[in-house]
Amino acid sequence: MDIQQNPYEWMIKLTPQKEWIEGRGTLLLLAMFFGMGAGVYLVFSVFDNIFGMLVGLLIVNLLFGGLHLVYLGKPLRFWRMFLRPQTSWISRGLIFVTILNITGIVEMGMIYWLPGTGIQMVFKVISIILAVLVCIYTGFVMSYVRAIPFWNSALLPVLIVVHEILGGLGVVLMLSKINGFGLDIELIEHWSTMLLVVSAFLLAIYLWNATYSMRPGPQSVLVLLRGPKVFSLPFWIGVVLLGIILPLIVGWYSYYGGGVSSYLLFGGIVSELTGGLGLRYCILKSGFYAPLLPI
Amino acid sequence: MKNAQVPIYEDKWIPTSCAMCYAQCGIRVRRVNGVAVAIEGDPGSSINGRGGICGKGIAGLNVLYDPDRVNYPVKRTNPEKGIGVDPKWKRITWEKALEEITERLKKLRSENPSKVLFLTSPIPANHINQHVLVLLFRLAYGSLNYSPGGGGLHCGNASHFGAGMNHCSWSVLPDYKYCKYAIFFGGEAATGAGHSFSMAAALRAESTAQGLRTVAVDPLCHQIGGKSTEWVPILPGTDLAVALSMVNVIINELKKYDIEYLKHKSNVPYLVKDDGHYIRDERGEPLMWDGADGKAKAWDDSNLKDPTLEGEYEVKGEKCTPAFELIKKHVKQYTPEWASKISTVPAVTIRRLATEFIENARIGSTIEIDGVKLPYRPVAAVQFRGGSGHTNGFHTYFAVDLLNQLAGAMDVPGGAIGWPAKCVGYTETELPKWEPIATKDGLLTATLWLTSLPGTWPHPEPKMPKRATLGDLFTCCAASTPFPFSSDSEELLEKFNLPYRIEMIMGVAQNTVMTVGQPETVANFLKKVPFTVFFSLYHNETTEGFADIVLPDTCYLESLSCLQAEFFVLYAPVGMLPWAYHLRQPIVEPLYERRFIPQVVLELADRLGIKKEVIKSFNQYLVQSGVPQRFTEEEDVSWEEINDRFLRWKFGSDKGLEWFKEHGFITWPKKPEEAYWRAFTNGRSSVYMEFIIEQREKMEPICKAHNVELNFDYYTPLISWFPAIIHNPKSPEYDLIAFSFKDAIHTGSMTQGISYFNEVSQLSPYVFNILMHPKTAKEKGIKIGDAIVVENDHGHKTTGTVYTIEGIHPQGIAFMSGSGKWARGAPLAQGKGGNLNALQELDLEHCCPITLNLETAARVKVYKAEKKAG
Amino acid sequence: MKWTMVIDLTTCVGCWACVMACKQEHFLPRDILWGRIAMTETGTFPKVTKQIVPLLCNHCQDAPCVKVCPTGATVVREDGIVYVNYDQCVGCRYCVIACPYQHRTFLASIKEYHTGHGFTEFEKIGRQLYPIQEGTVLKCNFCMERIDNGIRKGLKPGIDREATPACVIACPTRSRYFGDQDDPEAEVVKIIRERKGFQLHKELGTEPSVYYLYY
Repeated sequence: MDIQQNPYEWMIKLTPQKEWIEGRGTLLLLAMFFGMGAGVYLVFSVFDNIFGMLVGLLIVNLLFGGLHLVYLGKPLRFWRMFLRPQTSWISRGLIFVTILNITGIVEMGMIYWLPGTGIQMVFKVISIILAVLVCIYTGFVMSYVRAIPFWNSALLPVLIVVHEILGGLGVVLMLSKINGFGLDIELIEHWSTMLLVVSAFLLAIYLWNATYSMRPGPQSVLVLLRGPKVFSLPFWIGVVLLGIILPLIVGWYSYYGGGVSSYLLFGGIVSELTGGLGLRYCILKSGFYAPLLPI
Repeated sequence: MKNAQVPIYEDKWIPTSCAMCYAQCGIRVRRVNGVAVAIEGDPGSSINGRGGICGKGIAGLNVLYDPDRVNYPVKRTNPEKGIGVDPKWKRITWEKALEEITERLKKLRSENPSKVLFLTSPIPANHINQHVLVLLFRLAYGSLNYSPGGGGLHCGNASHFGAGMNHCSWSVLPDYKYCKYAIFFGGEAATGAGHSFSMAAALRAESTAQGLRTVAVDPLCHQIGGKSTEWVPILPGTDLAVALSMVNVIINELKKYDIEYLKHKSNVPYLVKDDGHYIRDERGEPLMWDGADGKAKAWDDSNLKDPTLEGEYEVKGEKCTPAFELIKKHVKQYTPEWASKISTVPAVTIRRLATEFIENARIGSTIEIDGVKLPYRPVAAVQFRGGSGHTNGFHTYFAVDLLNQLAGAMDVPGGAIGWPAKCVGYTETELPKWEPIATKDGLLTATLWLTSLPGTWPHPEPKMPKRATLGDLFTCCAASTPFPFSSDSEELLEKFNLPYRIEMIMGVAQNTVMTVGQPETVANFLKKVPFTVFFSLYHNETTEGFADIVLPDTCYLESLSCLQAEFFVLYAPVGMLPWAYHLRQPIVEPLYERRFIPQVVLELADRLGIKKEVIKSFNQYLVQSGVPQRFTEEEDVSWEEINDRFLRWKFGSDKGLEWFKEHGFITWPKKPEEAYWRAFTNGRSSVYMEFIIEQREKMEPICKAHNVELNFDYYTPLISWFPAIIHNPKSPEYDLIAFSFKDAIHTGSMTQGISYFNEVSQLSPYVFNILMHPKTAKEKGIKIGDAIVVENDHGHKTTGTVYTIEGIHPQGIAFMSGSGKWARGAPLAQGKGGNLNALQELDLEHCCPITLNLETAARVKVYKAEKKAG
Repeated sequence: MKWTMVIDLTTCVGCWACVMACKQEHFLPRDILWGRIAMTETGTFPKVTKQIVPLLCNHCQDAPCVKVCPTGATVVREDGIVYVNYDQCVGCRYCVIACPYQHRTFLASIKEYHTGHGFTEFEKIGRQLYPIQEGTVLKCNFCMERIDNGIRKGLKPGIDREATPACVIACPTRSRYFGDQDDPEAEVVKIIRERKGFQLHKELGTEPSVYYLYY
């Protein structure tokens, strides 16, 4: 596989993106991963659990937002990033996060003071929609980039939002194991497993579809499947083994085998979350630009 | 400077000339608030690419402000000398340095001044430093020994010798403005080479737009190969075979050549006896057979009408035949099929090139330029180091140039032209003035030559050597001999009973150990010299390993001089481009404790008590250029004064130093008689090298008497095939030929360690990698990025990282020249690239027996390194 | 008015003058390049073609970098120049990701060229004469300052040296042209038409202002 390894091969061999994965780019990888905070909020919001919703919002603001902020070259100017929602998905995303915070807090207040009312339902729906938007917008940030054909697919935001919600479900499960919250854990486990199957299916379709995209989209898929190791190891071990197979086995046993121990469940969730991180890593890492030469 | 955050109290453009390579392009430098901030080509000067210069020139400010430069005089405190040794510099004052140097010079002068060897560099345009140190100071001091550096040994000895003889110039290039078809045998004119790069590149670009076709016969498809219309891969060192077979095709198959040129402008009509010598008249002039009246006449006979090229005649009772007849028969053996086997160039390609060359020559046609009618031959066969940098260099050069002679494309519009060999002078003063004149045997002598080097024609008579460089024996060596650096120097000096050895070196801009040849060989010599002094811009492999004292040199942006402009045949505007004569002036005062060499040399001369002799030599130098003495013996002149007088003498009393400081340069139009001087002289170029017989007759007894072996079979007047030493490897396991090329962004061994240069070098796969063909690499189990060892057939090695390219001869392995540095003074360059010079054996056997051009390629084997290189 | 650059690949010899001139003009710090040269070859031995291609920001008229910028720091001027307002850039590098020509660089910190020696006088005055900001994204701006200054003085960019981008005047083989594509008499318009000038990655629809000549 002809991947750029030296400066003189820049934009002649397949040139991977670097800014959002190498060096300080790791912060961005982690930040994107913690977008599942919105998923956490979403799940807890369905169950009207204030504490959980707060945890979700904290993850979104401190981890997701905070890591993004630290990654910036000029963090103190971050307020400028709201200014271009006409064209920029980052601007839109920031607006979504802001509105989510506002409606989330209002919703939490309403659950506390006006539970069960119509207006609480309205804010619940609105904040859940915002949570989905916050989940999905990082997918759009990437899929908007035509320069990287592997990312330029309508399936990417879907894949991302499914993973964020999956991540959210996982965190909710872990927190529930520590402190019940009175949630229907079996139901959540069930949704989690079903969604995992869906995400696996989506991933397969996403990769398959990418093989029909413009060069070097297909090459991105090939490096993930076949190597070099720096691409294929995180994919097969991280995304497939840890992210899909192991959690499915645990989920299966949990559902049909009469339940599993907490430790195993924990392990399964951690494995699945690692897989989620691995997926974002793989997508970011294998984003190649189409070479400019030869003419 | 719209964004400037500080008040600007000075914003001035200062004209000067660049010194990053030989080209000496006219530039102007912007100084803002006392800091030089920008360099660009001077749009008014013809010595650059229409106001553009190359990347090296623009990055010149890196050299000025580089903190890694030598900024103070330093002295070695580590008594050990050797490659890679830490000198443990101690900073000393200029006073101490000069005291110690003077003391040593005094002592050696009283014993034998020839014990001091003066070394210079042929590049970064340090010619003024050559003149001052190597010529003027040395003459006054009395030493016979000087050597102008590695480049002279590699590129120069054959090429400059040949160009000097046949074109009265330092080198040749196609007359791009009018040329339509040019073949390059291992030369990078206008694409990478240092000879007037920007100027030639601009001319070439324009010509390309008008349909110029170029053919690069080269083992590498990089600069010249990559830009040419056609790339013809060739095995290194076999250009002689291809050229000879092309000559054969032209003379014996196509039977089409410029008869008028050959008859009147070359020495092929000269009558040759059985013993190979000319038939001469009472005066000693060679004779030709005039077909018009059946009489033998000399070249300067005004009645000479139609010299014949063929037939057998009897003159003064001896049978003789025109040299052309001999040549014609001689080259029959050199068929394209034969050449193809040697060079790997297909026979059909060789025939096609020969046909295209002679067809495009338009023999017999004329052109009018500025009202002057001149022969028009829009073809050129040009070469440089790649072609003649081998042990068969002498014959290679003349074989390629013979193609030009057959086409009549010699210093005529469209043909192979030298840098201007004739100047009738600035319109108001008729100075400078020089032109080729017919001298001995009717051959041409250049009256302008680099005065520190041997002349062009006639060559001095070989004598029993008194010089440690043996340059007085090998008088056909144009630039530098490999002595006394070579592995067999000591043996040869013993055999020639040289009564002294080199005990001190004074060098400027030198990187002897890295650039002359095999570093360990050179190191063995340098280690034995008790005291060495170098003026240097940077600490390099030589100063660190072997210098006792290093003196901080000023770079061109801190220097004042007009004398480097003197050697016009190296860099002046070619063809009909207008003349330009530049002053080099400082943009800033020398930083730190750097001092301008001529001033230091004058001071040393003063301390030694020979300043008057140095000034006398200056006068002699001026006299040599045809001017009456300008400095009286009583005057104590300063460097500024010297420049001022020199300029006033040349260009008028109103155009002294002040005028030049303001205007930067003077320019005046070129005349066709200057650009295309050959039509206006009855002097001739050499095809039949009769002088070589005499050279042999003088040298052979001396060599035999002293048991020195030299391949005298090579000393034949007919240009013949001789394989280069790399074609006779010691064993078949050495299956590849290593060679080097010069990249456009680098010069010598200095630029590799400089910031901007290093940065962009990372963007080119050619610069710091060892280049191989992928098939060859695969056969040896090597892939891109592997660290490899390249070992020559004498056991010398170098290492580097591989990059494979299709654009290289499968049997070739290429290095960029100057890479593989190891000096601490160049931290950015350390460990990058392989050093080809490590593979160049430095001894008499590896030199062209006539010109002493070093064999620049090497027979090697390649294998993976056991641990990572560097 | 639409500034356009044309690069003639048939005459470019790869001497790096344009890259160096750009570095010098803007006193670019270490590892920052606004112009580059890429070299490759096509074919197999012995029929090999070498390609030398100078590259720079294409100043796209439908620029992805402009669209994705969340702060509006990257803008397209009316005359077609795409530039970055350093005071507004926040350093999110979205534009670096979005550029299909990969010609934007993030300046994490201004590094000295000679490690351990501090900044040279040239580097120091450079920051005073041409300020840039750490933590922002930099790119070629078609020497916007030269053009604006030149126009103010009544000079013509592309014709008068002082008003023309540094890379264009540096080229010794005159392989770079600069002019106004909206002017039917401009040289750039003629040569693009006559020599079939083309843009890079035209299929992405970015409408670059840089054309190449290869025929």
